[in-house]
Amino acid sequence: MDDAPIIRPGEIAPDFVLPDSTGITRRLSDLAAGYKLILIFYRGYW
Amino acid sequence: MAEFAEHYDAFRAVAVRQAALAVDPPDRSEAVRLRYGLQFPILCDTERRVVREWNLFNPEERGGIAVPAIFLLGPGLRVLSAIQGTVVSRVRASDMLLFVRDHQVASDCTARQPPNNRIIFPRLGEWAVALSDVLNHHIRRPRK
Repeated sequence: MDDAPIIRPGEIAPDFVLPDSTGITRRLSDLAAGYKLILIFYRGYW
Repeated sequence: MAEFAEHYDAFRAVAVRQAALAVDPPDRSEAVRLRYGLQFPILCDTERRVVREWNLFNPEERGGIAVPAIFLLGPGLRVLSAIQGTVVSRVRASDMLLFVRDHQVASDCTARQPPNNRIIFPRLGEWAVALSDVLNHHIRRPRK
């Protein structure tokens, strides 16, 4: 990771599209539509 | 992440949805989702595109993984809370739930300070799962 700060409160998070673990294509803004959304970045499988 | 899954219904009750993201391929992420009974999706950033864009790419470990972090996003993907974790500390789900509840009342972020990281004390079951993974699947090697 470089020295750039992570996205901070008040900023707009970049939208993205990724597949989920079942193969469904998900857009972040769709997941958050009408709700607050907790997005957890984790280190992955050990 | 398992702790957030345990609070799934409580978060839904306050109109909060959840999603997770890792760089693992779908089969590994699906194994995690099934193991912990996660009712929310795990997004698979296998190309490391999103973790780079969000400045959460750790190139030093296992071929490049995500830096642990938890974001609370509001309408229009506005960031309400952003907390970068470490291997040994993270935000507790219960703290995040309190923050969300206060945030709903105050309609801004002033009611309660965003939650802080706390030291992780893995449960016995988590140690057992980790040991099982090492024995059955070996620790993942960095990608070349």
